[in-house]
Amino acid sequence: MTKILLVEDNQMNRDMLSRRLIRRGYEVICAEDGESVAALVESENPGVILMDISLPGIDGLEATRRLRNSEKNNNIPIIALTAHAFESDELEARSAGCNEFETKPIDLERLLAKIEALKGK
Amino acid sequence: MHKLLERQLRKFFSEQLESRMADKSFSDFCLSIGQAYTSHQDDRELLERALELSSRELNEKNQDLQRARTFAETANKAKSSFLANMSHEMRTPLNAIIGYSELILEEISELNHDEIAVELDKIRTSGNHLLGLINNVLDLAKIESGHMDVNLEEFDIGGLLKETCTILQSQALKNKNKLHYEFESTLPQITSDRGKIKQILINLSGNALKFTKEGEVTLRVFEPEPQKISISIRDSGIGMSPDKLKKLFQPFIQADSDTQKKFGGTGLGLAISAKFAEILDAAITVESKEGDGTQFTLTLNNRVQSEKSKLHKAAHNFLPNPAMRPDTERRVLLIDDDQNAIELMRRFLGRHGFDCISLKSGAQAIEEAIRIQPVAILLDVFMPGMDGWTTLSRLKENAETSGIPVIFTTMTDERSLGLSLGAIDYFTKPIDWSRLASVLKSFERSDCKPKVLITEADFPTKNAFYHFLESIHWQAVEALDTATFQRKISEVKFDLVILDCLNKSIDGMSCMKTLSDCAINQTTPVLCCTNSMNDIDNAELLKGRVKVILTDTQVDTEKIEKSIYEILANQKKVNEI
Repeated sequence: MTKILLVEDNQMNRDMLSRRLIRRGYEVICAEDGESVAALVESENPGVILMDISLPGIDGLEATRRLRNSEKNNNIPIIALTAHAFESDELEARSAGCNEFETKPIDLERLLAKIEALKGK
Repeated sequence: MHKLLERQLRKFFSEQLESRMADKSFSDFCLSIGQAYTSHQDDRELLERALELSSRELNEKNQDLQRARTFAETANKAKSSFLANMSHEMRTPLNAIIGYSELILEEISELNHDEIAVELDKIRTSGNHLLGLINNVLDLAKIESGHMDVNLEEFDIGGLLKETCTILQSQALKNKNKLHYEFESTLPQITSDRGKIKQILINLSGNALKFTKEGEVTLRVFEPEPQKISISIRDSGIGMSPDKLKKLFQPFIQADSDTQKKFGGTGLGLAISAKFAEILDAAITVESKEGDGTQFTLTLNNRVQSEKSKLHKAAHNFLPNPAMRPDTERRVLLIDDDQNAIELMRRFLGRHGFDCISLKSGAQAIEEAIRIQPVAILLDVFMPGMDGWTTLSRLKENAETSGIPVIFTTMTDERSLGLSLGAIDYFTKPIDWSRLASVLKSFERSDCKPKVLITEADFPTKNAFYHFLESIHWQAVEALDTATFQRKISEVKFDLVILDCLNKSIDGMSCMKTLSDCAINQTTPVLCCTNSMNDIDNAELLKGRVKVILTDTQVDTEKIEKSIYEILANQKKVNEI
């Protein structure tokens, strides 16, 4: 069972997406901000991270950069999830180190395909 | 009246008439002339004043117009950025609306609550409709603000037709329509923006299927004349009256308001298609008769888009004769975690005389690239450790490796993303070996490529330069601050310097001074992008070697490309003399 770390500050979206992922057989742990990502990665060792970009404090881009530059766990697959839909937003997320990019509203089937393609890489 | 004239006339009159008579008549005559003269003078002054007034008025009107124009432009920009923000704000709640409806639909499907499911589906469908609308409005905003990028690539139009039909097959079944496509297998490849053409075809064919019941929709490619290519979408549907045809391409306007109720849709598809066509130097025409079907035709005015390709040829002719590099220096760096892929590549590249050095991940890419100085780097995307996207970004960030061409060789088809991140070309596996060979051939002679020194710090602009310079087989060297600039200028002879004074780390004045003092680059043409003529030495301007592009915001790559061609053309002339 793949463990997914969902980083999302919006309570409704966090609840909705985590429930949908659990229904599809994933184990989901949640973070509300970018600060707690590193500690959760360390303690929970997730297989994939779903990262919202607009977060209070450390945003998703910065959280991704920090993870990529850290000594350990720096190659966990990260999928950016954001309501910013411009090409430049995707480019920014990719250059920060995200492996994939999905816009909100989430197309669940497409997101699941990406999770499956990336997990364990 | 003029004194001299009066005296002459007085003399003439006194010779002709008796003195008293003469005196009287003459006085009257003089008086009337004087009056005429004065009134003429008054008229003139009046006219002059009127003229002055009206020209002042005209001037004010002009200034008003100018102000109104600036205001409109600012307002338009504000509108676009407002729309971009709104799009974000609307997507977030929509995510919850669509997501929760889908979640509950899944959950209750096991409980047999069919009535609730039907109504939930209405919420979900409306959410998706709203999302489509937001996407369309965003597209229009991007077009209006000039942010719509064009990604040119060579592709097979027949293949695109098949793909479009596959996507629309389920929609065709809804109205019991038959969907066909027709094209000759001998059609040439075309160069355009595949994604946008696909969106146009989906919009036009989607409409055709919507307004046709139990009929046929046919997509056909043909060449109306050499160099042009047309795709027609013909349906046997309800057709339109001439009145309705006129309003067709305006945003938010469907043929009539009943149409919206009966057939749905946002009314933006055609407006966007028309704008896309405009950007791609194409046109959409329509023929229709009420009750007798409609035919839309998309015509690409130039099968091979942008006249750059023609100019490329001119640039090639100007290049010095290539001298082959010694074999030991024809190195290629392969970065791929799949050993089989590396072996295959090594064998293939070996046959073409390339020496291969391979890495299993991107982590050591920079060190290795600096050490072996490869002519090109072939890069996979998915790799353990550092993946291809990150590797490419790192390579492009490092001044010592940013000039090495990188080619993606990978399973995932993300061509436009790869190119926008700075790759020179993109190959999906299985690899088209003959195309790869021809691309690599173009790098063989990089030693004698003309060199350009660039000082551009803005990443997208720099990226655009690299693409452009690679495409005309020029080599770019970077200097991002004044000290580096001065060092490079004194070490290497350049064929062109592009000096970007908008880069804060570049001191335009002292760079220009270095250029005029330096012996090896004394005649090198300079393209200077600046917002002030103060940076420019007048003597250099007069000698004609410095060309200035005045701009106060961002460097305009199109303008620079044009100027480079002009410089090339001039040099060619000089060489011929």
